Amino acid sequence: MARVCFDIFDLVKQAVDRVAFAAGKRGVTVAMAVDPALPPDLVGDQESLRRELGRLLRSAIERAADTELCLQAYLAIETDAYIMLQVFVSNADTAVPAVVAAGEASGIMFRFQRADRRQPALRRPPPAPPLRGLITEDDPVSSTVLAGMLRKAGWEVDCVTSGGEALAALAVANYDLMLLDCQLPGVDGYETARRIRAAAGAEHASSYPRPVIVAITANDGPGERQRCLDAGMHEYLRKPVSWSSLRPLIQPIDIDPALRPESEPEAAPDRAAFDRQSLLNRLTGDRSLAARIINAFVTDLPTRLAGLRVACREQDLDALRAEVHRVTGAAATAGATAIRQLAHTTRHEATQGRWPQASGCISRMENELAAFRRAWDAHRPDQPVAAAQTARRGYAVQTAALLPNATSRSAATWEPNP
Amino acid sequence: MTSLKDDQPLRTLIVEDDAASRVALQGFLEPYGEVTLARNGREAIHLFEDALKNDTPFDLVCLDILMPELDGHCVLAQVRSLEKFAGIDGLKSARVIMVTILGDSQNMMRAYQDQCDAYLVKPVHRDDLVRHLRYFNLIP
Repeated sequence: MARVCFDIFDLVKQAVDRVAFAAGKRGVTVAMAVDPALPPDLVGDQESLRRELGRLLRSAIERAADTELCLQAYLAIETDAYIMLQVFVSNADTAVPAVVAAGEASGIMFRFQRADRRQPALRRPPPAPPLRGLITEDDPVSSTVLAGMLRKAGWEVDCVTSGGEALAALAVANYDLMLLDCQLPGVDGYETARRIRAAAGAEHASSYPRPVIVAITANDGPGERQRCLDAGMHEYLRKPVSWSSLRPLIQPIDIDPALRPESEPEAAPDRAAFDRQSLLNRLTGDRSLAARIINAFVTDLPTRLAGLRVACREQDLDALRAEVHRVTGAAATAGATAIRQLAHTTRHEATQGRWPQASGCISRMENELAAFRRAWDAHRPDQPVAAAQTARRGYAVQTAALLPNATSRSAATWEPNP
Repeated sequence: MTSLKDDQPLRTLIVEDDAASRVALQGFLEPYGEVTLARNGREAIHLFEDALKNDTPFDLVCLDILMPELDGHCVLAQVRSLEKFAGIDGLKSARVIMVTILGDSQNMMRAYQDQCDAYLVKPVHRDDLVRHLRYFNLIP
């Protein structure tokens, strides 16, 4: 049995998140409750508990329809040596069982030790859920192939066949990545992407666009990439999608857990701050030119942002659009992906008359400029090694490419409890 | 226009209000000859006119569209009318490459109607630009 120290709250929350999509399809919502009396650190077989929670939830969802379920975890028995944890799924339509014995259909008991500082237990960071992808593709063959590729890379995958279903899925679950067919019947992929971004903008204008959307398209025209970007997508792949073209976008990366960005939206843009690889590609590897371009970009951008501020304060849409165009061009040239995206969002908000939101976007661009500088500094060849390591968060930008949540766990990230 | 056999360096005018894009284009084109920079449309037209008068016309103009005062479409139209006035046409005229963030068909159509030679959407890849220079026979 793997003896690890873990947080029961995180484990329950992840279990609930992971079934949200399946539950949504049956009109079921899943809530959670964790007994506050449970100690925060438990030592025991976390993986078995994770599996069991998933099994309990899935079987409860299969039997339920149009109702609310609640995954509950309680402290059942506590002794000096161990605690018994009781988990079960309650259904709003049926009475919550007062006492659930081990082995009963809807609940189960687990025995755990308390985390003891004297014990050489392994401690690892709160378990990260696997990355989750949503595939929106009306052709079952393509859908199956794409799902297979993602699963091969360790992803959890849900598949839908229309734009409407995709929007519904996003309403109930969080996804890291969305593969979106552009040629869908009815609402096409471009429109779907626009609606996703519009919905996110209306609800929380301050959050970084999630999920990452990759267009899957049969169109091969010169304007296709721009068309996808304009619709709020991050990247596009031409049909048929090959493993080699998809892999760079979905490869999980290793980040030192201590340096991993927090889950707050404010921290998220860091990861896409600087698209170094595509910049160097465009310059055919000319690093010194890259340095000059970036120097020009970071020197000039504050003036542009100040111009945007004025346009925003005076609610001058024409002036704002002109500045946005300049920022977009500069950011595209410098590989400042997040700033480019934010400039688009700023214009979108301003066009809709949402000036406070537009102003918020400008503030976030100011933050992004700092992130961009950090990411760039982390890459400079003349940078001493120590500095490069402290900026490892920036390093993730390069390898993670587009993935906001890309992390991989391995035994190497574990460290003994002091 | 300077052809290969003239064995003269390529004379380029970059018209771009954004510093980063200017630096990028300058970096791409400097290896092939002289690069002159203009930060807005008005400046560009003065430079182009002076070069014609001095009999050292530009071989290549890289032209942004969205610029304050005079935009790239206006500059392109003026450039072509200055050339017409000076009796320069056809292959003797400057190659004009639009370099812009605007990838929509309206701007593209308008630029080609006004006789641009190529239209590149930012961010520009060095290879794309160089391929055009070869295609225009400006470099070997």
